Amino acid sequence: MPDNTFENKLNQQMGDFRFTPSEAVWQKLETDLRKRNKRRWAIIWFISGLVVLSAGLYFYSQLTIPEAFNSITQNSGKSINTENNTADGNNSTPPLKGNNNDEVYARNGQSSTEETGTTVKPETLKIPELKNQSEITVNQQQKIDKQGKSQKGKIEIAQSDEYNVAESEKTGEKTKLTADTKDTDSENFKRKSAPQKVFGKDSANPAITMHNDDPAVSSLLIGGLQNVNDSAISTRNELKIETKKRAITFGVRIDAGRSANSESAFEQSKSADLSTGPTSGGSPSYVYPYSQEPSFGWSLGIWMRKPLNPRISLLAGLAYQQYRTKTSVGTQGQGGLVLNNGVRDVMVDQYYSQGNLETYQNRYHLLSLPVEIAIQLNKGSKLPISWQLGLAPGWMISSNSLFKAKDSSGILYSDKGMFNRFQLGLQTGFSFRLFRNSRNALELGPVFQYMLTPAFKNQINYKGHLSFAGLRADWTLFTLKPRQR
Amino acid sequence: MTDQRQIIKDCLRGKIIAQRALYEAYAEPMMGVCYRYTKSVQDAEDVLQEGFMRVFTHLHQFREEGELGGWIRRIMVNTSINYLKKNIHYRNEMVFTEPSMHPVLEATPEITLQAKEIASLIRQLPTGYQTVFNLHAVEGYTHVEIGKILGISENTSRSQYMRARNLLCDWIKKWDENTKSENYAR
Repeated sequence: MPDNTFENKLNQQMGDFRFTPSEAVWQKLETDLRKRNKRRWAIIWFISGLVVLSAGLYFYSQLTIPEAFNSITQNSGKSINTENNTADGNNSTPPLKGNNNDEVYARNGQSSTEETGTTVKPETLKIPELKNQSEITVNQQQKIDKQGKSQKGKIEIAQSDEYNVAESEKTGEKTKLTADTKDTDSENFKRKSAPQKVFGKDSANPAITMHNDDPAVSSLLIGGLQNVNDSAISTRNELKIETKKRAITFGVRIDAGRSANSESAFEQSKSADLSTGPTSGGSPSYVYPYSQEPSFGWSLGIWMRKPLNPRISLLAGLAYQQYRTKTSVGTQGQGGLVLNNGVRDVMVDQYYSQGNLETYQNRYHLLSLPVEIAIQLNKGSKLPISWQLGLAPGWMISSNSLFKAKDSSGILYSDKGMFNRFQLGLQTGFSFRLFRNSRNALELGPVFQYMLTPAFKNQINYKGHLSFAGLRADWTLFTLKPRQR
Repeated sequence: MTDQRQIIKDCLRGKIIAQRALYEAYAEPMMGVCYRYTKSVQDAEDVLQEGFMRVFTHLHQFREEGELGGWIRRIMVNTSINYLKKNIHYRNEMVFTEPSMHPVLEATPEITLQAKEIASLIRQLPTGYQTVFNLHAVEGYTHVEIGKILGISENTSRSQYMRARNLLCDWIKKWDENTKSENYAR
């Protein structure tokens, strides 16, 4: 039986042992603490600023759009010229005669008739004071069908290369600017040709209906209606301006799916060799097999998108990602433990033995700045499908992921110093744009991301690359339009 | 207890006054811990500063089920060992040789020394002995745990402790004899 009297007495005396440190200790500590606090506040202010800026931009966009529409309504209600004598004397093209002798004046450089094509039924803005209807439709699609019945009673000004303007049609008290049929007086216009002018005519109170299927196009219409006020529409110039200055959209992004941390093929083969057992020299080079199973991962972010041309756009944003994986562990240990991770000794307070007693959730918190190109694959406007490809440089804020100790103990522990903080991700995916007529369009689709940078530093036996596969939802919040000239 | 909770809350909010209060409450006993593991006061103060920095950084992890003093003490012990392993001067002295045979436990003297005197004797032990002795005799770690902490076998830890204990008993005896002879001379 060992004599513990010595230990007990020593323990009692040493337990109460005190020693006064010099004042310099606190002074150094205070300096370090103030530095740490400053850094923490800088992060808080940065995030708050970002939120306030986003909110400000959102409300700014909400205020400016209705004002623009108000001005159109007022101008158009007062001054649209519906007199019969509205033909522009400068027109080189003679007036087009319709069934009811209403005239549509237009100028045309090249004419081209398209028999096929689809028209998306746009939403309608009506000016209530006016009874009779003259309808002007602005459509973004590439080609417009002249023969379809649904186009009757509208003039359609396409944002694309080709569009048709037809004569107006009068039925009873109603006057309409009508898309013409092939066998009547009609003309097809190319946007890049000479400027066109459109006049509706009615002696009664005409009503103007604007079909607007996209916020960006509404600004087109603004320009058009203002020119109506001056008895001439110069849409060509407006279209040119709009083509050059494209609206920037802002939105939020949510990803949800399965995240994993796996070794690359090369590293797997290397660790397989090591895990076959001790080497012939008898040195303790045994590496225990270690794996992380996939688990739920998600991300939340904000983005801004600038169209480079009608089908390609550039997207940049800021996202928080939380990737998770699962590891089977044994019993949990408590208390100070110094382990060697292959680079240095680390002290751990909490650790696990190997086993299958419970499942441990490894969490990886990342802040990334994704930059990607989105290419619209199909020409159709009903359900645009885009392919996205981009890079996402990021910073691993923190992680509680377990490592395996490099010594023979095989203890699983967390070591914050062993993560590669900088992470470069490669991401790709497809998206289907839903509710495209709405201001707040929604894009849904699958996405895959792979971190090119290993999650763990080189010296550890398991490097691991984070990856994610899941569904992505991009929701457009608002659009910032370029200024009108 | 309520005061302590309030101090912890304020520390978590980054209030320097609260951090100072916590430091003042625990600086002296924790300096005692650091003093036992190091060879100089300067080193002990370095460990104390690093340890308190870790305390404030990880204070959100403290569960109120346990005692705050015990939690801080464990951090100080861990920081001390880390310091010994990082510092080249100590690392070179911490050489643990595999024991060929266990030393025999000598007769235990009666401890008549004050805490500070015992602490200064512990500090005179070779660094390896000193660390193992502190961890086992004062902190209460088992030899298995010490083996894991220091990366040595359980037997090595046991052997190191025995040698440290015998050496310390020897010094305590000599100290007592010197004291007695001084008193006798007076």
